[in-house]
This record gives sequence, structure tokens and C-alpha cells, in this order.
Amino acid sequence: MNESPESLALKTALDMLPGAVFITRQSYDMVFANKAFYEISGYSTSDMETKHIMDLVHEEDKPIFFERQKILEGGGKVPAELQIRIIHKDGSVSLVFVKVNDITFDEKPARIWYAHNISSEALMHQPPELVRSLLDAISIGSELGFWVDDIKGNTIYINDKMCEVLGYPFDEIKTKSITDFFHPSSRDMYHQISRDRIEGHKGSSSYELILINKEGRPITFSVVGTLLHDQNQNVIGSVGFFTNIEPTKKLSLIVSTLNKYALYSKYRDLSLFWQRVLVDVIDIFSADCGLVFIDGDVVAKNGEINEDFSPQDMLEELTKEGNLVMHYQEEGSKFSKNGKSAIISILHLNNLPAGFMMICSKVRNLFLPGDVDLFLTFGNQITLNYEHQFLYIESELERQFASVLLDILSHDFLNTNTSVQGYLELLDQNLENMDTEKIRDYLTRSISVVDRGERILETIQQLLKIQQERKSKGSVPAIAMLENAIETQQNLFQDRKVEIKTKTPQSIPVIGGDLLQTVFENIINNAIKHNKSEKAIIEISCQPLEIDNQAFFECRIADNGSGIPEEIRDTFFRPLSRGDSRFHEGTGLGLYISKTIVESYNGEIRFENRVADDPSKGTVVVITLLEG
Amino acid sequence: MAKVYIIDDEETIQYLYKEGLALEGHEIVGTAYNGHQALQEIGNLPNYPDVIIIDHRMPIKNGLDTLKEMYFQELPKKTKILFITADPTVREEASKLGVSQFIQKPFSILKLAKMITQLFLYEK
Repeated sequence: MNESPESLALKTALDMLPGAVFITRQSYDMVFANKAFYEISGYSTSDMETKHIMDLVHEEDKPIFFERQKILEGGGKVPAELQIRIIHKDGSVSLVFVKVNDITFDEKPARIWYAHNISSEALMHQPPELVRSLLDAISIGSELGFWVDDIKGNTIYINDKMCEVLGYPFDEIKTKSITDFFHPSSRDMYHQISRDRIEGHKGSSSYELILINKEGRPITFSVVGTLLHDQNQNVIGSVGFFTNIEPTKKLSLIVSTLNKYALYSKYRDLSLFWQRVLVDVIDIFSADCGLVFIDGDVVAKNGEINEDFSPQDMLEELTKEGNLVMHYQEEGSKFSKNGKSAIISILHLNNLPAGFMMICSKVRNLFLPGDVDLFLTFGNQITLNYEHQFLYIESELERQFASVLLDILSHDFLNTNTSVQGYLELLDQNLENMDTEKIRDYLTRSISVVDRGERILETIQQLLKIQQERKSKGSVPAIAMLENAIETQQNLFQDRKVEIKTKTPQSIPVIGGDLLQTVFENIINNAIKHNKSEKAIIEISCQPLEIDNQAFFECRIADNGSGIPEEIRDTFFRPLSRGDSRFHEGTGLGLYISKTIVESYNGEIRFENRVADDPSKGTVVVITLLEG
Repeated sequence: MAKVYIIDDEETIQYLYKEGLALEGHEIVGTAYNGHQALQEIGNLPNYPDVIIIDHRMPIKNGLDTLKEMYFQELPKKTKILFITADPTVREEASKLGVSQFIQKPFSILKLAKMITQLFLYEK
């Protein structure tokens, strides 16, 4: 059939247009496409002889056509404009804006389609519906979350991925602001970023945000946010691209925490090790409370743990079942008030189960399966760190101890030898010419030096015993040991007027060893021996104490002596050094030894004035030990 | 004979020096229990001592720190310093600070007295 002159003219005109235009019958059968259509789509005329126009439409957009067809067949009206995605011959996809008009072509009803590729059009120049379609088109299947809001913070668009991560359907959150999902720790930072942006300091920026999902679980996102401007460069909104970094963030925090505690020995004190570890691990997993239980002791506790929770029973239950880690998704209330979920990881010392670390949350299902594995790994590694630090500190103490002994042996004993040898030489040289006084003087000095050597030896023996006891300290009856010490000292000073008043509970077990009695004896001995009052009055009071949920025993030994001036107090407690003058008279060394003993029990010893601000009215020696 | 200043924290040793060095006719012109006390007193002596005997390990200011301060105070060249230490690690540093002799404990007081005498005979 010959073409009508009108059809030919139309085709020629359409071929000259830069945009793609094609004509279909009402059944979508294509009867014409202009040159631009072939150039843009990449298809040839022969390609199109075997293809239907629907073959070029993106699979997900085909329903748009079917729906239109159904409405038209039912006699209804359809919009003249639509957006669809077209698949090019090379597989690439363009978003096109299409305008459809009914025409008569070759004397039959037909439709003419004007398609305009808008994939690269500036987003904000498009109508909102188009923007939404476009964002949907580009974010389908993406791991990125999108959140677009206007200048007032009203949500304009949230993509499916974002809805999925937060756990809400779009309809449930479309009227909410992004800020409604913020974890408290993100609020201030986000508001500062928003202010900076609006004030023009920073158009776009990247930052971390923690949002709370529907289950109450915090999720950390790495966000790239940027302002959106209109043609006149006025700010009309902002868009944030969200990447869920929660799993990698946790892993990275776990690794850095393990590194941090690998160097913990620099603090030279392991008493706070588990407490610090627990605080950090609770923070990493966004938990609310936790507990570390090792060798029968709660070594760290944070938050509200139920008082009737028995860690020992828990450990027995876990080891009986042979579990390394337990995840409680619903039974958290047995560990803490309002608790919902919890993870417990067994801790091994010397390859044997020695305790566990537990973290709990008020959020149901806070912990993901990946969290449980990570927590178990953390528990295993941190216990190894602890073992290493413990061994390091032990060896460091051994080294210091050896150094003190070497100092004493290499200097004080050498001084003793030098003196005795010297006086003997002098006697040997001049015995015939010396008067008796001089000979007596040399001999007295030599005997005094030998006595001092004996004191040095006693000190070394005591230090050796401290060293042995430090490794085998355990629970000892503090009050009974104090009573023995009082009795021993009272017998020693029978020629002096001494009154010892005590105010103590019946018994308090403390962490210590046999040398605790030596500590009490040294302090009582000093309080009497250096007391210039006619009657030495010693007042001893002991009581249990609680500091930061830890039970302590405090013993205060007060005397009515002339006190110790504050400027020289430290010298009594400082470590021994070579040639220490405290060996000379036998004074003060008892306090150094006492301090060494008390510290080997992880306790503390200090001076206080008996009368506040007046050191001349007597001294109080305060000993604090761990109850045990 | 030599005028000697003693710096040692042990009174028994100080007395031993006095008695032993006197056998060779040396005169003890002053004593101090530590470097701090010595540095304050030596400058006030009518004449600088010929010999200063310094023990290394002392409270408040040890022998090496005392030597450093003396070095910067520029002692007269004729003053000899005898440094008493059992610690080999401080010897090198001490020798750079003008120490004439190192003495190791235990030492013979009679030999020390004779050594000081010879030190001055050689000098003269």
C-alpha cells in the first residue's frame, strides 16, 4: 500500500527532530520510529522488525503499560505523560519522560510517543514525582540508603534499603523526620553539621550517625550528606546517602580495644583491668549493664545486675553444658532489671574455664548472630591479654625485688664490711699506742655496724617472705591477727605505761597473708617506741567499708605521740635504696616493710593527723585491705 | 699533707675516714651527709680542699649529680676527686666529670690514706 502524502510528510518532519519519537497502534505495535529513536536506542530498523516496543521497556515498568491499556479498553482516561525506563541495545538503561498523543496515522487510529531522555537532567529541575521515580530507579538493588528532606527537615524521600535497615515500611515513617530515629549521642553532632551547612561553611560532609531501628537496636551509618539547591542557589533541602557500617564498626572497635589492653601493663596495676574492659565492651555493643566473674569473684560490674543472680551457679550451668557462649534473646530479666537480651562468654585461664563475661540489654534481640561470635572472640582474646599482662607485671615485680636485694647486698653489706675492716685495720696498726677509750670506741662502732648488718639481713628475709606470700595470698582473719599483734607488743613494752583501746567487729576476713600480723606489730611498735608521752595511748578501730561496690576493711591505728611532720612523711614509705639511713637506727624501716606487705595484698597504707591540721598531736596510720 | 672533704651518708664511715686518714697526717676539713649539703658548705670553706671523697649512693643528692654540679662550678684544678662506687655503669660518666680515682668498697682505709699521700707527692 502506498503511503499517503500526509504520512510521508509527518515521517520526514519527525526524522528531523532531535528527540526520539515513535508511533504505535493502539495495541502498542510500532509502525514508525524516527531517526533519533534508532540513534539513541542503538537498535536498527531490522532489529525492530522482530521486536515489539514492549521489549524495550524495563521489566519493572511494563505494568504501567498494561494498566494504561486496561483503563483505555474500559473507556477510561489515562495521563498523557509518564516516566519509564528504556533498555538500549547495549543493555544500558535510560529514564525517559514520555508524552503520548492520539493521532490518525495512515488513516487509522494510532498513538505518537515523544520520548525525552531525562537521566542526566538536574534532579531539582524536575517535578517531585519524577524525582521520586528517578530515586527509586537508581536505588533499587542498592546497598546505599537514601534520605532526602526539605529545608524544614520534612522527609521527602526514603528508599527501600533505608526502610529495610530501619525495619519500618515506608508509609510508617514517611511523615517522620530523620532526627526522630537518632541515637542520643548523634543529636548534637548532627545539629552542628546542619548549622554548618546552612551557614555555608560546608555544603557537603561525611560523618557517622547512629540511628535506632524499630527493634530499638542502634545502627551506625557512614553518611555522606549534601545540600540541595534550586536554580537560584537557594537551599531547598538535603540528601544523605547512608551506608550501614555497624558490623565493620564493631569489629574495628573490638580490634582497637584488644590493642589498647595489649599495652595495659603500662598502668602497672591490674585491679582495674576488667572494670575498664567491661565499660568498653558495654559501649561497643550498646548494652546497658554487664559483669565479669573470674575465679569465684565478681571482678567487674557495671549497671544494675539482679542481686539474686548467682555468677557461680551460672558458670557451673554453662560449663556443665559445655557451652562457650550463650545468647539470651528473651530471658534477660533473670540477669538484670528490665533486661531483655544478654550474651555470656566463658573466659579461660590456663586453658581452663575460669569465669565469664556477660553483657545485657533492655532491648529485645539487641545482639545479632554476628555480635555473639564477635563477643566470644573478644572474650577469648582479652583473657589472653590479661594473662600476658599478669605475667608481665609479675616478672616486673620480681625484677624490682631483685634490684632492691642487689642494692642492699652490694652497698649496705659492702659498707658494713668496709667499716668493720677499717676499724680492725686501725686497731691492728696502733693497738700498742691506743688508749682504752679509743679501743672501746672502735670496738663499739664495729659492733654497731655488725648489728646493722643483722638488721639488713632481717629485712632481706622479710622481703623474701613478702615475695613468697604475694603469690599465695588468700583470706586471713584480720581481727584475730590484730589481737595477736597487740598482745605481742604489750609484752614487749611491759616497762612502759601503755594503753591500747580497740573498737573492732568480731571478725573480718581480708585478702592477705601471715605477714599482716607483722604490719600491725610494726605500726603499734612505732606508735609506742617513738611516743614521748608519759603514757602511750593507742586507739585502734576497724570497720568494713564499701567503695565503688567493692568491700574493703579499714583499720585506723591512732597514737598520742608527737606526730610526724608532713614534709618527711613520704620518706617513711619510700622504697629502700642503697645506703638507706633507715638501716642505721632501725627506725622507719618497719613502715617501709609494712607498706610493701600491704601493697602486696593490693591494699593501701597512709598517714593522717590524729587532730586535723595539727600533725604534732599524734598520728593515725590507716590500712585499707580488700575484704575476702 | 692533704686537706680532705668527705661526702658520705654514713656517720660510721665518715669517722673511719677521719681516724684512718689522720694516720697519714691528712686533715679532714669538712664532712657532709649528702651532695646537697656538701655543695652548700664547700663554697664557704676558707680554702678549697685538696681532696674530695664522694660516695655515689646517697640520699637527697647522689654522687654523680653532685659531681655534675661541682663540674659546672669549676673546682680548682689541684682539687682531686675520689669517687666511691660499686656501680660500673656510672664510671664512664663520672670520669668525664673530673674524677681522679675510683675506689671500690670494701676498701682498706690504710691503703686509701697512703694513696692520697702518694697522689700529692706525685703532684708536687
